[in-house]
Amino acid sequence: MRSEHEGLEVAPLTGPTVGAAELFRAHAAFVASFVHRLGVPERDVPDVVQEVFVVVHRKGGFVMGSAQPRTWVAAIAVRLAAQYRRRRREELDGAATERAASGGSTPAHEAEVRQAMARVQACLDGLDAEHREVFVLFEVAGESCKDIAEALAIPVGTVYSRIHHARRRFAVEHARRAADEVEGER
Amino acid sequence: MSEEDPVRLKDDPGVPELLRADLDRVVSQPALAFDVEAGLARFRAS
Repeated sequence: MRSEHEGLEVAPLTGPTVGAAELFRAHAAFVASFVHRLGVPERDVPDVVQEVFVVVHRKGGFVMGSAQPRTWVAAIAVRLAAQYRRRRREELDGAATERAASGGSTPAHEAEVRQAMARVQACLDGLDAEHREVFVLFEVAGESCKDIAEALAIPVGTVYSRIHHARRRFAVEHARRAADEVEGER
Repeated sequence: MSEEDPVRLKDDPGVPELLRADLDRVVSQPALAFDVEAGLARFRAS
């Protein structure tokens, strides 16, 4: 049977460790905002944050090395946010942007943000896990390719390649959705 | 960002404007208020 957390492989552990509680204190607020941007509704963010740090705990914490702890935790968060969205997809239409909708300055701005988040989430949902992971870490979290490579224990060239392929697929899907929206308005 | 990293899509003028704007809106969402101490207490109790 596949584990719920199967596929959450990140850099192997080889040195002194930072425990899950210390990582929680340092990075939980970042993880909360990050998974919300990835489509987790505000009401469920605390649960997903808990899941992220349970995985961190099960992995024995973060091992000090060349990888950055925030990138390492973010990589776990990307996978768990995607798993959450798969589990709750039928409930998520519009729900993930409830806070975005209330944070805008005008109704028009709120609508733009809702539409933007919906298009981005739909395009991300169309990527496979390894491409989504590097795309989100680079384009949304703003991590460097070097940090992503070290957190995932893959060559930086692989990161470049995955970003390239992910961007191509993301752009094609985004253009298709934008065209469908224009067509639907006619 | 290292010198070798590509330009991020939201900053790339060669990318369609709507795609750049959508990514920028997602990235620019204000930080979510999160009670770290309450979350940490829950985590330790789990």
